[in-house]
This record gives sequence, structure tokens and C-alpha cells, in this order.
Amino acid sequence: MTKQPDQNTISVEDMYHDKENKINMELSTHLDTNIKNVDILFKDCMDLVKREVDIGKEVPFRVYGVYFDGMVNREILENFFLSRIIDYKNLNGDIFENSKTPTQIIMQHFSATFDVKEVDTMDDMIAAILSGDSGIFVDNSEKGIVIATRGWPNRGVGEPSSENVVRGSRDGFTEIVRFNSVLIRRRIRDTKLKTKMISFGTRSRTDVAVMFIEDIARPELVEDVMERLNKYEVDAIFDSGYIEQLIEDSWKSPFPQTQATERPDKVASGLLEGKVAIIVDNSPFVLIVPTTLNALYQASEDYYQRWQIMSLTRILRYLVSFLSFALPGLYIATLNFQPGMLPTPFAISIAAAREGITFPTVLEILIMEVTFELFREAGIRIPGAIGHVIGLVGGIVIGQAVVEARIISPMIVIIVAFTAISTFAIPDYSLTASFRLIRFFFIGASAIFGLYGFLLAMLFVLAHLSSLESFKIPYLAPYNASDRNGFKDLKDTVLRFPTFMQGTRPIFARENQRIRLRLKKDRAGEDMEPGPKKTSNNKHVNRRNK
Amino acid sequence: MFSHNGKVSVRQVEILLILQMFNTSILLLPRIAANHAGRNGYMLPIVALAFGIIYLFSITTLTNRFKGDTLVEFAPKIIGKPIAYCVLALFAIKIMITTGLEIRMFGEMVSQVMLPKTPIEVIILIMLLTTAYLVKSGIEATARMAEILLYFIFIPLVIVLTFIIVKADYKQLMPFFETDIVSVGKGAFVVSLSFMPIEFMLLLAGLMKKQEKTKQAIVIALITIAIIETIIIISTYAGIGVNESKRQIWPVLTLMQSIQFPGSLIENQEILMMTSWVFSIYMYISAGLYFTSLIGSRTFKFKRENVFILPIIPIIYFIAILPKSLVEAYKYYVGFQYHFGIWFLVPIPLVLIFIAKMRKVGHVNG
Repeated sequence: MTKQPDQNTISVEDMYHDKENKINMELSTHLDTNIKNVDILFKDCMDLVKREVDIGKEVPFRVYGVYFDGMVNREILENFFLSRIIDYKNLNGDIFENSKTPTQIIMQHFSATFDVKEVDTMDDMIAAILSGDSGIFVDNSEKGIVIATRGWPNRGVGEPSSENVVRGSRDGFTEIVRFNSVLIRRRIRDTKLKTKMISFGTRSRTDVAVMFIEDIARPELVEDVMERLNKYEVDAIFDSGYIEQLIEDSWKSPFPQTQATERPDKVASGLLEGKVAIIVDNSPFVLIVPTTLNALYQASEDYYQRWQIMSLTRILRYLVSFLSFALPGLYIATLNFQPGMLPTPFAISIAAAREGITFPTVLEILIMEVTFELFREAGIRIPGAIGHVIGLVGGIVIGQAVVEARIISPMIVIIVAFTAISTFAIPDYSLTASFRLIRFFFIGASAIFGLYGFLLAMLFVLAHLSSLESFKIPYLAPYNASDRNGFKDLKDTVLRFPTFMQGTRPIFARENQRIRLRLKKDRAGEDMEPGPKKTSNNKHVNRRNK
Repeated sequence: MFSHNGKVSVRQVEILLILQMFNTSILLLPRIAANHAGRNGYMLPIVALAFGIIYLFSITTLTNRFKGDTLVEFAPKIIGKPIAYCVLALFAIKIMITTGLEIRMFGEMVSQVMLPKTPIEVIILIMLLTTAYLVKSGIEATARMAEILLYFIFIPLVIVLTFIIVKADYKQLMPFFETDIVSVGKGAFVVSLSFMPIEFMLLLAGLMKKQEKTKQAIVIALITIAIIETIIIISTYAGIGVNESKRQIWPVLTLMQSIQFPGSLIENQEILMMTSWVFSIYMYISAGLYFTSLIGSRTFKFKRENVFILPIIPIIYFIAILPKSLVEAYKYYVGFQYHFGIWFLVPIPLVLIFIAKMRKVGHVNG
């Protein structure tokens, strides 16, 4: 077990902040005290805009507005708040007659927006200002006002770059937590779709939204997610990748135990399966938990296109993902230990291609694998426009050159290039990364013990996957424990069964909420298959016609 | 939902039992069957089912009296702590010896087919260590692993057997029913010793979620394995002949060598078939390792069940490398099964049931 660092050595506590970095000042009824406090807290923050306005006509009625430049939508602030103050000053009549508090007066008469609220503490006030809202301190009032004016720069809803589809929606998540939750809510218009907000990180105060469907998700799962999220005190969170690594079941595993996606439709369908989504501000990747290996092989498009072709695609995905980590190892094992397994003409042609090459096969493979990993890494760093060209040229030129220089045999180039391409057929990027990693394990095992080593490596990985769990769901479900749901979950695995046959939700959902597709009550007697209504007489005719 | 209580489902028990019974003895089976019943050896597994049912009753009658308990808990209740611990120690030793000899036979096979130059000690040791990795994760992970390996083991087997069955020479099986009853009975008993992993139920039954279905799980496993054994014996006879089956140490392996895939995609496909065997032996050894360590940790009341795995590995390893040659290993393997295989299947459970009834411990109606 890893030891905790000494609690006392790191602390955000000072005169004005408590242990959790919350501000311990009180809101004062004197505006001047509040102004002084804001000046202390935001000392040297030149991007803060502060302005004191007197909105009273005869009696002074001072307010003090604070917001961060660039983080607010100034149109909202100016049209719906400031302009009304100016209008009022030019009008006749008095609004200060009744017994309302100053903040209530402002909210009723000066703000033409729904999203305005009173806050009681300095901490809430400052937190709102830091998130892009505007804070209004009011003289002679023990409360402050927060107007929702968030309007920071963002890139808008774009296409999900890592999960493109030919058919299917093209909106992808952005960096703003609220936009992301909207993209999901637009797909599930149900009051039972719940959003719990927490803030993560003592300094970054990142908004984290936990979304789930109340009556489908198992309550113990939601509880588990919340509990794990509340475990750590961390200074800042910049991406859902941080959270993923802080809430997963096994940190030792190279396999992803949460599903990160840019696609709102994927998240929505996950929620409807009883999973929980974790949206993190500043990250376009939303986490879905729990996940299984099978779920990482499912792409959104699988469900939008015909089942036959998508089943074929699934088979292909499983096959190439196996090859993506196994092929180099298998090649080494067969060539070095069991050449007898290969048909004789093929073995001879490989031997002929290897003539004059000094390196052992393992070294050849390792050189080429490392080179390809290099291309991949360099391809990301090289600026966009030339990146592809350099990658292509590098691949072809270097590949051709090493073969001609007799450093590597052509077979190796084929194998390494094939495995590299194979990894891209897997829909989930994190899973691809795991396969890239375990490929080296397989190469090592095969190099030492041949096919036997390869098989033991395979058993080792399978044993690891069998013991792995994601939020108490076996990682290999529904390939194991499928009897829990009457083997129904197997309809969406290597083969994708037709949509009308997938009437049940998988094991993630509550047991009383497992049905998601059925015939309408008044048509209960009919055939489940889609198509025109069949009467009892022409049913036979139909069958005969088939 | 998935409560982490170290319990397994009925289906998982069925699969575990099937994979554990699907061990090296199946590779030897056609030889044993041919030696006992000649060309009618294929009926031995079916007759052996009768013995299997006896084992089933002796074990389930005992375990059903003590629901939720493994042998480690109920043996002391029946015969008192000192004797119970002796019985448990004997059981652990027996499992370790069987596992050791099994892994030796397996090592010999790997050495013969895949790694002729590698020392057998290394082959055995790395297998043991790989097994330990699974076993340390507990019975739930082991059961899940079994469910996954089922696909890897039986899909290749079905494909290969299909080729054999199509091309085989079935005249080898005739004439029918020429063997006398005594040798069939004796042969069936020997074959029934391949059902020995049922003895693990003495421990496994207590780890089941629905213990009332123990019998069902065992029956399904027994019938499945008897059918597989019959198919394997028939296809070996039909594929390489009865006399050849008697001569070969691994008749099934010879059978695999004899077939030819269409299009000559792969040559020496017996290496490919080793995949199935490596995977199924893996499950057998992991069971041996798990149950021995379970006996240890529960007897000494350790909270962590996997404490004993690492100390057990060297013991099994030394048992495995003890025989000097393949011939000696084979002699020990068959001999040990023949002389000691039955003890924890029938005699000891029966004695325990008898004493339990006399002393009126456990639930009478199960």
C-alpha cells in the first residue's frame, strides 16, 4: 500500500482561506468592508473588473459589481442589468418605499434575467465570480447577488475527432461541462435523468457533473461513484483522465477501466443501460462507468447500420485486435521455435527473404516496432499540415531503406505495419494503447519460450482480465457471468443481433428495469419481427412466399 | 449484484468441473481403454458414468449435510479436530501429488511437441508461476477464467474433431460387444478415475451460491465429460486404429498428427491443438493450487486465502521433477490415480457420513 504524504506539509490554508481553500471571510453589511476584502483577495489580479455604482435617485444606494474580464457575456450584463439601472435613473417614481431588502429590490427591479440569485457567504460569491458569473455587493445588505453571465471563449460543438462515424450524429463534447450535459439531456428528455454537481480540486475548483438515470442505474453504483470521487483532495483537475485514474479499480492494470468518449449518443445509450457518466469541466472526454472489454469494442455506428455488416465489422475488430498484440509474438515463435508449422513453400520463401540479415528475428521486430511507435509519437507532435506527409514519407522511405540495406526482412515490415494499422480498427483509443503495450510482453514471452511462452502470456493476460473489475462488474462480462442475465447480453458481443431482438438492457441496469423494447400493449399478440401487420391467414402465405 | 463473497455460481461450478476433468488423463484415455476393453473401449466412459454417480452421491450426501461449509469446516465437527486435521493434511498432500504428476506429464508433452531443447524444469516452473497469478485472485476470478477458457478450449477441439470424424475409418470399431463384462467393469473403473476432480467438490460445494444444486452441477459435468471421452476414444480408434492406440503413450496426440487440414494452411497442427491442452491443464493446476492453499489458509484461519500459494509452488515443483523419466512419470501418474484416486471420492466421505449420522451432526435432510 502506498503511504500517505504528511498531511501537514501541504496546505492551502492562510489568513483568509481554510483547509479546503474556502474563503473564511464573512459578507459584511458595509459595502466598503466588502470592497476592501475583494481588494485583498484579488490583489494583483489585473483581469478583474470592479465598478461601484450608485443607483439611488435621491437616497444613495450603492452597489459594487465584480467580474472577470473575458469570462462573462457582457451583452447579458449590459442589456439586462446595467441598462435597466440607467433607464431607472431617467424615470420617475420610487421603488424604495416598501419593506424589501436591498438585494430583493435589485433582483426584482433591475435584473431582466431568470438566472439571478442571492448568496449568503463570501466564499459562494467569490466562487461564482471565479466561474465567470458577475457578483454584485450591495450596501446595507448581508447578502450578495450573483448573476449568471458566464460567457467565456469556447470552440463550440464540433465533430468528435477521435470517434468519427459515417452515419450518426456529428456533435461531439466540448470543454464546457454545461454544454456537455445539455448534449446528453437533449437526447434523454426524462425528469429521471439526474445531474449531481461536485467541485473537484482545491485550487482548480473544477466542476464535475455525475449523470445517471435514477430508476435504471443501480443506487449502489451511484453511491460507489460518489464515494470514490470524494476520496481524494487534489489541487487541480484538468481533464477527465485525472479522475479516471483516481477512481479506477486497479491502478496496476494496463487496461482502461472506464470508457472515455467524445460522443453524446454513446453516453446517452450508456445511461440508458444503467451506467453513470462523469463529465469534467475543461475536458471533451466524458467517462462512462462501469465498463467492460466488450463495451470498448462497441461503436455508436454499430447500432445505426444494418446488423449483418456491423456483425462482420465486429468480428473483424476482435480478430485484428488479437493480431494487433499477438502477431509479432506469433511470428517470432513460429519462425524460431516451430518453423515446421508453416507450409513448406511459405517457410522457404521467408527463409529466402531473410537471407543476408544478421539480426535475430526478435531484434528485427523490436527495431521496427520501436520505429513505428516513434512515427506515431512524432506524427502527433509534427504540425498538422506536414504531419501526415512526414509520417507517410518516413514510413515508406525508412521501411524501404531498411529492407534494402538488409537490416530488416520485408516480412517484418509487413507484420509491423499490419499490427500498427490493426490497432486503429479498435473503437476505443485507451484500449488501443493497452494492446500496444502488451504487444511487447508477447514479443518477450515468445522470444524466450516460443509458442509455449506465447500461450502462457495469453493465459497470463486472460487471468488478469478475469480478475479485473470495473465498479464491481467483471471486466469480461458478458463472456463470463452471462447467466446472470439469462445469456441475453451475448446478443451484443461479437455478433450484433438485429435491433428488435435486443429487447433487454444489460446487467448494469436494475433488475426490474431490464426491458427496453417490447410490443405496445394493444398489439401484444403480434410477431416481434418488424414489417407489415400479419393476419393469421396470410401468415402462412407469407411463409410460403419466403 | 456481484457481491464479493468468494462464491461461485452453479454454471461456473459445472464449467470448472468439466475443465478440471478434461486433463492429461483424456490424452491417455484411448490407450487405457484399448488395454482394458480392446476395440469396445468407447463404451467404457458411458459405463464409467455409473461409478461417477456413486462418487456424486457419496460426496453430495456429505456436503449437503453441512451447507456453506467446506471440508475444512465440517470435518472437525464430525471427527474432532486432531483426526480432522490429519485427514485434511492427507487430502492436501494427495492434491499436491496429483497436481505435481499432472504438471510433469504436461511438461513432458510440451517438451515433446513444442520445446525439445528447453529443460523440463523450466517448462514446469513457468507454468506454475502463471497459474499462481490467477489463483492469487481467488475463486471468483478462477471461475470467470474457466468460463472464458471454455471458448478457447472447445472451439478448436470441435473444429479438429469434425475433420477427424469425417475422414475416419469406422471399421476399426467393429465387431461390437466382443469384450467380457469383467474387463469392461474394470476398465470402466479405471476410466472413472478421470472423474477424480469431483473430489474438489468437498471444498467447492461450500463456496457455491446455490448449494442445493450441487448434484445438478456434477451430473451435467459428468455427462458432458463422458460424451467428450467417448467421442475422443471413437475418433482415436477410427483415426489411428486400436492397436496403434495401445502402443502410443499419447494416442490423441498421434491422432492430431495424422490429420491434414484442407489447403495445407498449417502443417504440424498438433502444435495448434496443444493450445487446447495447455489451457485446460492450466485450469486443472490452478484448481490443485487453489484448493491446497484453501485447505491451508482455512485450517490456520488466515484471513487472506492466497497466503499459502507461494509456499506450495516449490512443493508441487519438487513432486513434478521427482520422476526420472517420462516412463517413470507415466507409471507414477497412472499408479497413483489407480491406488489413491478413489480414497476421497468414496471411502472417506462414506466414513464421514456414517460418523456424522451416528453423532447426529449436520442437517439430516440436507
